[in-house]
Amino acid sequence: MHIIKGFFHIIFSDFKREKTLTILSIIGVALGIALFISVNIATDRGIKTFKSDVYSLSEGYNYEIIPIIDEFIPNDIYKKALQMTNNLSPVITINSIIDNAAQDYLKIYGIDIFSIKANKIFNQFEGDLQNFLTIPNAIILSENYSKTHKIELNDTIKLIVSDKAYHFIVKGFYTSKVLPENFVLMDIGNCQELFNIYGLSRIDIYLKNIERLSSILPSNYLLLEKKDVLQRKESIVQSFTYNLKFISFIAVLVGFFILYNSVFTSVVKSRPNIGILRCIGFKRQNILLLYIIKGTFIGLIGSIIGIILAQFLSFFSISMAEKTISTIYTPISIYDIFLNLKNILQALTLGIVISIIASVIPAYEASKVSPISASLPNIAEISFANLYKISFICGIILTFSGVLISLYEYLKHPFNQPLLSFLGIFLIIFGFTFTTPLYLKYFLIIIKKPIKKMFAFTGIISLNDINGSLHRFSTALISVMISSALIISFFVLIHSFEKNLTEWIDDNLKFDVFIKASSCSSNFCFEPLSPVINNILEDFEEIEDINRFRTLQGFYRGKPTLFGFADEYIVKKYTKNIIDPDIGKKKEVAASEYFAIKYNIKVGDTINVKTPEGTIGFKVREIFKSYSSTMGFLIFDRYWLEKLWHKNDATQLNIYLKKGVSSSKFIAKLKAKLPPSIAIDIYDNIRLKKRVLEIFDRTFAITYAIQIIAFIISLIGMINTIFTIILEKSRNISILRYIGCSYNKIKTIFMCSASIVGLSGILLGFILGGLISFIMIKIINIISFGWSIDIFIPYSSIAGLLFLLYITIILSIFIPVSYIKKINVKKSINI
Amino acid sequence: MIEAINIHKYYGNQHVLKGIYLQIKSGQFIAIMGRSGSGKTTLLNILSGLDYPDEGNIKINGNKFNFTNDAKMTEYRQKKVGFIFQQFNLLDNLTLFDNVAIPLYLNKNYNKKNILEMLDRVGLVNHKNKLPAQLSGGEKQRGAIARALIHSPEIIFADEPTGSLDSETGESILKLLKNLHSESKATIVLVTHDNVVAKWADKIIHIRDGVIE
Repeated sequence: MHIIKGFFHIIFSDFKREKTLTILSIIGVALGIALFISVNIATDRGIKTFKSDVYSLSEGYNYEIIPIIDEFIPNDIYKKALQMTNNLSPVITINSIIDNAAQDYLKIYGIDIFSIKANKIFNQFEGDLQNFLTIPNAIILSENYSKTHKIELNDTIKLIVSDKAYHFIVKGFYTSKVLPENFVLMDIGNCQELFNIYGLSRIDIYLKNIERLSSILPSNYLLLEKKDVLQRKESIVQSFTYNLKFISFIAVLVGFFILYNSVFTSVVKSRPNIGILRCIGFKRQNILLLYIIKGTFIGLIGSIIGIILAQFLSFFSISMAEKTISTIYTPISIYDIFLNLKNILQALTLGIVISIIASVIPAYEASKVSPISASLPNIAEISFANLYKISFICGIILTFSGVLISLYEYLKHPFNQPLLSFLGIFLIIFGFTFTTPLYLKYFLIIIKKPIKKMFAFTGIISLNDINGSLHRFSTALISVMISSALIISFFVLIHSFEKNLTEWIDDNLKFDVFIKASSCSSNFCFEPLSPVINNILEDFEEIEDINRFRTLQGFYRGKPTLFGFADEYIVKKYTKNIIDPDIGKKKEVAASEYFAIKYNIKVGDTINVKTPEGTIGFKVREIFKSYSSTMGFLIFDRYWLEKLWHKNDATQLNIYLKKGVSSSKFIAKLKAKLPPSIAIDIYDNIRLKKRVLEIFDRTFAITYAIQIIAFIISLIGMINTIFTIILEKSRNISILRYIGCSYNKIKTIFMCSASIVGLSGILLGFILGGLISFIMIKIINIISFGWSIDIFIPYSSIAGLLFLLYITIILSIFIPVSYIKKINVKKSINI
Repeated sequence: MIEAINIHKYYGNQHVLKGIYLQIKSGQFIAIMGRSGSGKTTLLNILSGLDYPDEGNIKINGNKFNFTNDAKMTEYRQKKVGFIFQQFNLLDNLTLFDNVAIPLYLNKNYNKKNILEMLDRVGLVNHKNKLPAQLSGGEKQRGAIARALIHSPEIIFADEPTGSLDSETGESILKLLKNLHSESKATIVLVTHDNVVAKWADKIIHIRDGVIE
């Protein structure tokens, strides 16, 4: 106990002495942790909404029946299930948006309140339950939501479901915390009547033995255990969450290097003190423990500050995640925006583990200090110098291992997620990290002559300074390298994606006008448009063709898959100039790349699709690029929608106008003819293309944010290192001052050092970034999202960006360099 | 000529220099002697323009020091002063050649031939590419002397130049310093607590408790 007390005494006096360095390290760790945790919170809360969807109204039920071919389960299936057990609950789910400025996404649940076992919900209920059942448009809202939006009991609210506006009377509020705020409860009978639904979205059921029910359940329906349902839903967003967590973890990695650097500096600066401690009886283990505790303590404070920052960052990250998941996957609203105990523990654990790992090597170095060697200068550098070649070889081996692992994943696709490529990128980053000291040494040899010529004295001192502290300067180089690699790789990824998307838009969005239901916030919705729209459009002579597109939630081999139905004749006519009136009748299907990769399907293969008319084999006609969904996507001709699914409706309309017809005039005319109850969004081609690109930007917003924070952490890394070097070099600075070197000249020396290290870091980062972007685009992207992208490297923009980064790095040096004036020159050289 | 006029220096409550009057003629080799804590190093720092007096002033060849103008003071040290320290204070990452070259770089009159000649004079030309860590104590100090003299300064301040050396090496260093002094005619201000060292100077000034005796 006494020794621990002694440790803390030493640690705190070190903190006082190295105030700025300690603060920078804490900020570095805090930002890394904050970013990682806020991304975790955003993705976890996104997934939690799925959990609410599966469990919150289903307490006491362990299975659910869902339709896999039709949209709804017919009542006779419910009756069959009811004959076996009365331990079941029918549910209808409908997506809607509230008709106000917020346009919040609300999920309407048609429920049978007598079979809802979650009595807690109605135990904590305010309102009029009798009227809730008898009034056809009565609903129950969350108390929190109502308070936020100032909705009172018996108020009327307008919700848009698909393309129609409905008025509802609020007949109660649930206060239960079990249900999310965006749930709207409605009596299931009223719900069926109001929306003309003759079936159920799902049946929650409690079963001890599933065999009996399974045997009588037609193959059009699936009996799934609740935990499997949740797992299926989670698996859809898994790629999104893995990718974000992976990127944010790189930021933690930079924080790790900052801490490592900080503890190392402390060891180097405290060598005489360590020697004294060893003289007075401190064992090697004590010294080891002292510096591990010190590093961990910084990490702990950083984590605590990181937790507070994470709360602020998560307001932003949650909103970004909500928008992305709603667009690409399914509409969600996240209301739980505060950190919970799990998040806090996660942050503390991560911070502590990272700190311990970051402190071990410097602590071990400290423990090796013998009382006699303590006064020798720069011994850590000397001992590291012997390891540079080994470190370089290790780096090359790690880099190759990373490349090989990623390559193996590219060829074999062993997992659903690109786990090996994530590991590969980490190995490559670590590999590059290990190569830095020797790389820097040779970089200095190459630039020696030009630097000497250009900067003379300043250059010589600077080159020798770097050469004499290769290990220390390598830490700064690593920060710059990771930062530039991140910037380059994401820039290439985003630019390539944007370029491919723009080409895809130009090739595919040939129609003049696009119509979708107003409540549809995702790229795909399943609620059909009202037939009245079709009737109105029939009167328009301006229309050349209409591709009436229908989306259905399908299943392939038991996995959720999007089924799209298009008028292939029209699509081919406008996109490929092919006129083939019989194209639709062929038993053929177009499959998305993701589908082809996931199920190993090639053009010409036959795939068996479950339809209401049984399992039908379709030949794969083509494999197409799809950037709108990360589920597998199959596109059939509408002919099959009518023939096999017995439907003739559409979820979106792509209208081709006759030559010379103005889209804006057509839209104005159409709007004038629409009845007021219809809520649809109409876009002309230009607006639609713009909207697609806006969605694209929105999808990448969180990535931009992560990049910025990772960049800030890297800058802190650079500042921290230069600050460290200034502290270490205070003796040399003082000597220079004695022999007549001005402060400005000394500043220039450090600026020169920062420029050299910055340049070498950016160059290495360019190679690393290139490698990472290749793996991200060609492997991770395809496995995660099924998006095949051609690589486009915007050289001039990257050069501009790197130049900006370079300037920022050099400017950032002004912060530590200003410390030079504070150095006590007399004290530093002991006279 | 260096003149110190009524120099007072305080560190907190401690009155370190208590009204020093001093005149050092150009080309003189003087030793300032005193015990540890007597104020001799503080006086040296003030004479070299690195520290400032709380009262009084310094004149060099009749020109007053402007202690508040850092650029002027730096220029003074750069052009007119050479330093020799007890701990040698060569820059550890630079070769001996580069260490000696620094004052020439700063004065913008780099001349390789001059550096080699100077290293030859101090007997280190064969060690020119070595780092300080590869040199013995005596070699380091000779290197430091070469650096102090390379730009032909008017004044050389030497703070306990033999303090870290054995007596034999110390004597050789003082001999070298004396020879170089007679060749260069620079003023040498040597600070020491050692009688034997001080005897090498033309004149000895004793300082005790911040006062010249």
